[in-house]
Amino acid sequence: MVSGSEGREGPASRRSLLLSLGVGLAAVLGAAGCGNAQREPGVRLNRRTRGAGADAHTLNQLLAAEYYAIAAYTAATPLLTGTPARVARRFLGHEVLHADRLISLIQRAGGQARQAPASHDLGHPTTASEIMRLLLKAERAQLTAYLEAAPTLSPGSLKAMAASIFATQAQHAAVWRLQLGQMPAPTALVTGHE
Amino acid sequence: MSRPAASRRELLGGILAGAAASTVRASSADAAGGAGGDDKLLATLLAVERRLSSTYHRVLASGQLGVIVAPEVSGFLGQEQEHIGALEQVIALRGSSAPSAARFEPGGPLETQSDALDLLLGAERMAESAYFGALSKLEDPALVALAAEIMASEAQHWTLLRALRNPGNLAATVPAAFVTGSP
Repeated sequence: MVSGSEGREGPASRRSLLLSLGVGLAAVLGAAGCGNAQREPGVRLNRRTRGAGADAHTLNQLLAAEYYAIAAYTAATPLLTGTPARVARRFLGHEVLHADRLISLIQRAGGQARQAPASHDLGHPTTASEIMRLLLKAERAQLTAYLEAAPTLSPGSLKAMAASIFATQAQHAAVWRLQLGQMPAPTALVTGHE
Repeated sequence: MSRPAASRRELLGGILAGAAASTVRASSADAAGGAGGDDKLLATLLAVERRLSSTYHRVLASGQLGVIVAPEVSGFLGQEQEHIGALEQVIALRGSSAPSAARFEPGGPLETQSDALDLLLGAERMAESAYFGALSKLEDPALVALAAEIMASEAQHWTLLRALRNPGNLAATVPAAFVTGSP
């Protein structure tokens, strides 16, 4: 299972970066419930903010994790049906919003947002359970990335924003575990290793 | 029929909202306070967790939860108690003493399982808000990590309570891309 997207040239605009993911922005954001106003946490960050350069680097690492998750959801969603398909569509929308936010913040910090790789190796899941396990794996990878990053970010508002995404990924993971018949919230402290 | 949000806030007696607001006030007053500010934030978060735990006790004691829902909710209470233990431990390690627990009685009638789950959903949401506010002010990286881990746990509880409240609409159990505790 390999996700592929078209090759892209130059432009580093947020829109071009997101469109390069090949997800069909309008439909995905609609499924994420973006008709209702999504409350994004405000962040005070610009290129003059102390630590902006290091933060831009960290945010780019988180963006890489989001790109992987987006690729996994994009490849997996058409292979699912019923409740898992509806869940996957909503969660894909969330991941796109996260990526959009990270790209915006990287650019505000004076950095250059990395582009999505042309493809990701997603293994060879064939059954619904295997596909959901792939998505759970993607969420756990994001959890460990965000938990490692959040304490290192400079402005408090950026720490809080990273933690707010971390909490959403935790919710995603809980739902996939529930669908897989596992204990959905196995630990009191969420780290991504559970 | 669900109660309007204002009634749920009344059921909580405004206590959790006050605790969340005091997190912001305390942290603003100590914006440059470093360790002192972190200590006050920890104390506030501990108070929030204790009130959340009291709310779970109240709900479980009400007898309104069905035989399938009650064990799930009891499991969440166990995790809230672990949150309390973690905060008390880190406060002690920092050389502070944990404030004594104030008596808190979550008010209002609980007449149905839906009432009970709505009360818990509101309480978890307020806990998320308190942690989100604290995370923008905490300075010690270890405390940022701990607060993030606990806030994520509260978010999971909210999602699973929502699934218990409205089974059959699993996609709606994660309604937003960013957890902030805002409705």
